[in-house]
Parts: sequence; structure tokens; C-alpha cells
Amino acid sequence: MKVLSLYLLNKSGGLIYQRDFNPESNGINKLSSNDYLITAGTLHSIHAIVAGLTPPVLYPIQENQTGNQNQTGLFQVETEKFNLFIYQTLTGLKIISIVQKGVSQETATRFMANVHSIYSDYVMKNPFYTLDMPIKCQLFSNKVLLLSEAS
Amino acid sequence: MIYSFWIFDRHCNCIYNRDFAQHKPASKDTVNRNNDKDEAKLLFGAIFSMSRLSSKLSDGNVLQSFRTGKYKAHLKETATGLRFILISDSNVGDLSGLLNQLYSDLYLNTIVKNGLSPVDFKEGMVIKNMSFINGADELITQNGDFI
Repeated sequence: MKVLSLYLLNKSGGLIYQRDFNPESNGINKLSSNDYLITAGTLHSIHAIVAGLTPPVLYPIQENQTGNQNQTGLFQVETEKFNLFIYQTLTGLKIISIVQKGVSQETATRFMANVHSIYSDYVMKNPFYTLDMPIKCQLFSNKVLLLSEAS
Repeated sequence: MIYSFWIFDRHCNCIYNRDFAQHKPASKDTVNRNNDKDEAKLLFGAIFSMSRLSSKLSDGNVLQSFRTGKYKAHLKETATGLRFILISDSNVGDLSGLLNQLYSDLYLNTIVKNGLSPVDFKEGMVIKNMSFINGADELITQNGDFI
């Protein structure tokens, strides 16, 4: 499988990590840093909006729409050139990956779950990291790169 | 299972909406009922932002569908700026064939080539043409993914 880009969003929709893999050949445009923040914020809000658009027949009346959005929130965006997958962890961290067409949902989910475990190991256990701030841990970047090449 | 069908024109207005979820298609009382509701605006807004995002990330890229844990929305945008949207179960495959049929076989013949229907829909106008409504119902309910 080929991962084109990876985004990590904190629980309030702020971009804390962004990386393009093979930026010269993967077909994903290089954006300005401001545009990356807009992209992250847009995805964060769309994630919540589309959860509220669930057809009424699909949820019981008592279950309100502000509940657990890991089940009802945006999960996949399919476009002509790539697929985008969103994986929200229990703590509200969103892991977003842009992958080539044809990559299965299972493969993408496994990749993002692995990113989550790398995040727990090399970001959360880093005593110098402040919660919800941009990730500037070299070890994390190295491991993510290795993971993207391996998967 | 297909839950609903929406058409938005190039002025972002919902010109057609049909709900299949609660009523069987035989009853016509779910035609154009949600055009001005918040649901329509949110759906359009979400689709619009996602299209913008996909074309920003890669040149000439087109949004095809999006999926949540519960449902999936399929999109076709025409060159004239119309957006056709079908909402279905999340495990339904590609519905672009049906969307193409709805546009090129039905919409073109019953709306565009119809001298009595407006060239450009004004605010608040909706599609009331019975041959379009019946034709759309027929195409959608005969699709293999409609249960």
C-alpha cells in the first residue's frame, strides 16, 4: 500500500503533525502551512457535521447525535485520485491518511492504528512534549517514515 | 438500501429531494419536503467543502463519495454545476452508474429538453415534473442496491 500523506489533529481540530511521503512523485500538491491548517480544521468540522446527517432511520431516538462520533463520524472520502481515511481515537486524536486508490479499508485502518501506537510510544511518553501542541519529535518522524515504507 | 436522493443547482439551492427511508416509493409525500431544511444546507456544505478540499490537494481531482460508520453519500457533479447526491447504506458499492443514468437519461430528457421547465432555477423553485419524479423513482427502486 502507498500512503501519500499523514495528518494528526488534536481533539480541538488543530493540526499537530503533517507529512507528505515522496512529495515529488505522489501527485499531492504542496500547500502553504496556512492551507494545511485550513484543511485540518475543515476535516475536523465536516467529521462532526456528517455525523448529524445520518438518516433518522439508522439511529434509535434516544441516541443523540452528539454521542460517540467514532461510529457516526466521517470515515472515508473517496475521490478520483486518492482515498482519504479518518481514524478517531478514544481520546479525540484524529489520524488522517491519504492513500492511493485501491488500498483496502482494513489496510488503511491498520496503518493508522499503528501510527496511533507509535504516537503513544514516542510522543505521549516524551517528557518534553506538551499535550495538543505540534509534534516535533525526531524519533516519531523516523518511525512513521519506516511504517509508511513497510506497509 | 438507498435512503434519499438530492439535486442541488449551481446556485446552491436544493431543487429536488426524495426520501425513501420511511415511506415506500408509492407515496409521493416525501418529494421535495426537505429542500429548505437545515439538513439540505449541511449536506450541501459538507459536499462543497470536501470537493474544494479534494481539488486543492490534487489538481483536477473530483470528489466521488464519502462514508461514515452509518451511511455513504455518492456524488456526481455535472459540468453545469449541478450536484446529484444519493445517500445509501455504508456498505453499498459504487453508484456512479445510477447517478449518470439519472442525469443523462432522465434529467436531460425531462428537464433540460422540456420547454416548460425553467433554464435556470430561481430561489425556492423545485422540480415538480411528474415524469421526472416517476422516472427517478423507477431508476432508483430498480437498482440492485435499493431494497
